[in-house]
Amino acid sequence: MIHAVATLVRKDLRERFRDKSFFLLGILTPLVLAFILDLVFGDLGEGELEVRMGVVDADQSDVSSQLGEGLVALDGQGGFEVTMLGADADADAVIDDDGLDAVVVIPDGFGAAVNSTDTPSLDVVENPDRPVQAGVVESVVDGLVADIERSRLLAGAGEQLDLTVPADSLASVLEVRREHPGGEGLDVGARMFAGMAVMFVFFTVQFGVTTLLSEKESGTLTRLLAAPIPRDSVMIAKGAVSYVLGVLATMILMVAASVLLGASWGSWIGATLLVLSAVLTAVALMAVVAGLAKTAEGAGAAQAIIAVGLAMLGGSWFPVGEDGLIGMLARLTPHYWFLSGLEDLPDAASWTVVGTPVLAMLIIAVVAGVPAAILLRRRLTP
Amino acid sequence: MSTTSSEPIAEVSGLHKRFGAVHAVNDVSLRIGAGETYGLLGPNGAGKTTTISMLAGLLEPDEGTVVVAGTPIRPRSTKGREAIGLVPQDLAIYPDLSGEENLSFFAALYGMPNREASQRVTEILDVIGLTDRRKDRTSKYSGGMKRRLNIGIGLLHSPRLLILDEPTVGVDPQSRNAILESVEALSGEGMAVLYTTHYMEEAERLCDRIGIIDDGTVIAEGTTAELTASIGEQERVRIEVNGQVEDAVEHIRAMDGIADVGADDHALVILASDGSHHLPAIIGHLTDGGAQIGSIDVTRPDLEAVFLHLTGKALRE
Repeated sequence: MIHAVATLVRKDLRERFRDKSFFLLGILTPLVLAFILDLVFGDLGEGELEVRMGVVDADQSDVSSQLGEGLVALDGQGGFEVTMLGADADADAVIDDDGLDAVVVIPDGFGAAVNSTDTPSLDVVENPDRPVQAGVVESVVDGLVADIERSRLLAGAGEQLDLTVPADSLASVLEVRREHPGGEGLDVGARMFAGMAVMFVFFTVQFGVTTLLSEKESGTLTRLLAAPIPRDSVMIAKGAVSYVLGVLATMILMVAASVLLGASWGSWIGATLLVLSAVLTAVALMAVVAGLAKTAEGAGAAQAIIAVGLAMLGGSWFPVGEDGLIGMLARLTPHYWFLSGLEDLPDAASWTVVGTPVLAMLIIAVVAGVPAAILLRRRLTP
Repeated sequence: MSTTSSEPIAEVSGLHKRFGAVHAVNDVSLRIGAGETYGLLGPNGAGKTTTISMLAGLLEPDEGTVVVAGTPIRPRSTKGREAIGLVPQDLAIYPDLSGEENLSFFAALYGMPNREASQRVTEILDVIGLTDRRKDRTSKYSGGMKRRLNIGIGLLHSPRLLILDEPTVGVDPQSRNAILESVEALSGEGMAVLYTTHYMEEAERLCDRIGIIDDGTVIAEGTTAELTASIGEQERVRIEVNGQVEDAVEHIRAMDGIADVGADDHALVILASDGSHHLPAIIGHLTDGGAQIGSIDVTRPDLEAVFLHLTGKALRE
């Protein structure tokens, strides 16, 4: 059995490496896609979102000065670079000339509005080429305006209750709340890469299990079944080839992300365990599809749909909510657990933090693997 | 054709296989000796491939047994498989591997040690005439080269029984002839060969014995001569003549083995169980009577006629 499996695996791997499909779909495509997403969303390759922001205080009041100083105080924190511009600076021109992501303009009359019943407002001039960074500045400003409103209400209530409101209450609201799209542990670029890796491993592993169908169609399966080898060795070899290719592609992508983008995965032991589990799950799920499909072409199409669907549901493209139906469905995908494990790894003291994600993926692998084996065995006919 | 040995290599008894309501193979039994080429002749869908699938251990029979080289063959067992070489009808080769790699892979799969495998691969490449193209991917081979490699893989492990399932389908005449010559040489070396085809001329040329299969049942079995004789078909001798033939006709009609003598425009048509054997005497009667002979044409009854007689339909229907 072992000799037969090893012989079949060597032959299949030679074919896969020779027809270049493994390199194209398993490594090059996710690599290129991750870089394209990096270019589109910007700065993911730096490992941290950097935001260059300018501030124009056109009001020159005490309140506006206090707000301006508060914004400038963000400089150097969490990837922010903040520059105080002149009171008469042209925000559009500065963005064009200096390439700032956004300029916050404190308009004339802002201080007066804060100290009256009028609604204070701040203007944000955004760089159209940097939508993500400009969006972050906009979020900061929205938060500021909301906090100023809250401070005004608090002050009004305090006066009614004859309480003294601290004069520096405005400064306390200048706390920027930023959320990493992928959680705190993994930077955006690394998460994007991991998401692509776990999505494309589903395409990579199909090279193995689906060849059972293509060998049946081409007639070579008849020859294999006529050989003095156990029938199950053919099925085991196909699964093993899928697994080897999947692990190889994913590990290459993760090392590439680490070397090229400086992505930090935390413990490599933990990361490797996650990869091994995720690929096992992918093989089992794709084997179920191959077992149900009538032709290799049909299996390939169904596997592609399922791979993309699971990737979206599991958060490969964008983070998904933890709660509700979506959160529950996401937990049924290996993508969710793989990414969740990677999120926890960088800040964890030990690789054992991946225990739950690994266990969850192994459960999915067993649940899918048993019917997959039964279905594929039925395909072992001439 | 070669001399048949009495040693049985393949013994098939009472095979049945049903696919739902279709009784694809119905009580098929056959026996093939060492050095014998057995032809399974029948139209498409007759049950040839299903029969050889059970013989090669690919399909589980519903009933019946298959024994090859003394070992019962079952799909779930690997025992006895090394005695069987299968050449499927499809080109069962890997296009992204070279001819040499294809052969080496199957040599390893049949458990041949590396050194022996290497020698055998070289021998087979020589036999099938692909030594010069051994390193080329088979996707670059011509159709005939692929067919030859397909057969070479079946021969690789020197099987006692070689099963060839319609090996000349879609092959050009030159490659077809090369394949037929190879099969003739193999049976001469003592290998038992089971050859399925729906080409009667191939069966007549290659096979020591022929089983005619239709609707899953072997309806007749024997040598070509036995099969044609069994249905009472006669040889037809047509002789173009000039001059008086009346006396000669009476003499010919009186000969043993002559079934009928008729005449059409300037020609005699004689039906005989063995027209070729009687030809010298027939010619003698005609020339003695003063007739001048133009041309002579002897038409033997063939397997097509046998099949038509037995089933009421043509072999290629």
